[in-house]
Amino acid sequence: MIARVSRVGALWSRLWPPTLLLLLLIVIWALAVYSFDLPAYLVPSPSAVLAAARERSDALMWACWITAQSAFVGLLIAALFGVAGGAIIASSRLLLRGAYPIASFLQMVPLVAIAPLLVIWLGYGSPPATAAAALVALFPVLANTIDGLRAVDPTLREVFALHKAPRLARWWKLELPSAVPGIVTGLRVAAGLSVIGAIVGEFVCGYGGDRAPIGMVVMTAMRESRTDLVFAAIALSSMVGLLLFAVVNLIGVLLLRKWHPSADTLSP
Amino acid sequence: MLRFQSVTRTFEGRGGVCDISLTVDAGSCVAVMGASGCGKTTLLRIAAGLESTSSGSVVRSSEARGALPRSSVAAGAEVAEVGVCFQEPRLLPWRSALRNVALPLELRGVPRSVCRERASAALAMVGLDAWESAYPAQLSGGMRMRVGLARALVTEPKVLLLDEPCSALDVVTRFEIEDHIARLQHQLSMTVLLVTHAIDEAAFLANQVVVLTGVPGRVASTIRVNLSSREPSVRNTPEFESALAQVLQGLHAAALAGGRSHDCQRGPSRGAIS
Repeated sequence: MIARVSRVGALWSRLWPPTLLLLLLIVIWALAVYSFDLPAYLVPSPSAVLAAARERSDALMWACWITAQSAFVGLLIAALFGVAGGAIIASSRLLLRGAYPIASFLQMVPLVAIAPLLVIWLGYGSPPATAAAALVALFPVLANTIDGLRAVDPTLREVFALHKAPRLARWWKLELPSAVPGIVTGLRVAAGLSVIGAIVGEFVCGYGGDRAPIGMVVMTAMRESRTDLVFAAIALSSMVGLLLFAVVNLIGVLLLRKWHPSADTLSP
Repeated sequence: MLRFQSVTRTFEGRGGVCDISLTVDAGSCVAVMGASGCGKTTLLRIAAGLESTSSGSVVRSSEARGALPRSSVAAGAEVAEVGVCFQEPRLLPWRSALRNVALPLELRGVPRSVCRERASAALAMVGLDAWESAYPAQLSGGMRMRVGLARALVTEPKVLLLDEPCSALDVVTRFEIEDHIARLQHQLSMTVLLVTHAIDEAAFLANQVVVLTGVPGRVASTIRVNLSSREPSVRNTPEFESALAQVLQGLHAAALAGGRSHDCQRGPSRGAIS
């Protein structure tokens, strides 16, 4: 019971400074809009943004849901291929030397440049947005998996050598568990990126209309000079990112809390 | 029994050992002492099979000394199970104490339920039966070392190799672990090779102390220690005092005699395998 209370206390002590700062920034924003009489199409007031969010709440909720789906599925695909691909690449020195530079090069190709290709291959709508999310989220998972698998404590390797552990046992009982903290780090980075990827994908390949994703809501609102709506959509998109990040963090804490110091910084 | 026959192992620019012949009789304990870099750990790693020899050979046998013909090395005589305790506990941080101890059995394909049972028994031997589900991060340094010891013992080795098992521990914890080792060696009638820097640890545990000097290390002197008991209280007796003095004397003598570096390859070639 005491531990529970102190945990809530700890959560509160971590939450109040950013909350306070955020409120302060919103107040400054509102004051700036009123005192400098900024036009609404440039910078809408906080209350205008809130009103726009209320007015179009249905559409915005749908947009969040669709974008979150794309980002989440994309992240899942990236996690799957990143871990599996990283494991394959890390298994051989030659493969590593061959594949790592190519992976780094592909990482440098801007997503916006690839997005039209995704339209050609996957058409319009959610599939290309999901693919875009997966593409940007893949590399951090892949790279961190490879690094984690290769950074096994050599003194622990010796324990396995001493007992003449077969290769599969060494991988399953030593290398993979050693890589888990790295994989979690990669997934945390990937979680934020996947939302960015999905929205960039939607900019290029999204549908408009009733069931438009966040990317399309932003584009449409921009064309209609509804800057207040753009603001609302931006705020919601970062909520989606935050939600995804929280899910990944939770998984990380569950996997690592017993043994890895990074779990302390991950948990609230 | 553990026997080194003219073992030489040299490295570029660092320690190593030169022409070491040394026998640890079945059920006895030999402590290896000497300055840093004289090849103590190399010797232990060779015995563990983690390091190859440049020349010479090592015999690990569960049989007594006399029962073993000299040619048995080539014939590949029955090789004894070896347990190793490193300088650090070297536990897997993501495994509980019990599952850490079970690891060597798991890697040998022992069924899971048997693994648990034997690991549990090994943990009880070092007095950690209440800590089976604790993770290494939740244990003190001495407890972690004891988990490492239990892991070395879980395969029921006939030969136990200890590489400065207590060097990172405080004196009270050190005594505690030494007591565990002394008791278990007797209980399980193990042959023990102990690398250590602590004179009292060598005097307490060993029947024989071997001092290495030089780079690469050679045997400089051998001191017999024969305490009448290995009860913890023996540390307070005059008998223990005199054993300490003997070991100290041996260390001094070795320091005076050796210490110069010598070239192993150009030395007298009596190290050839007979």
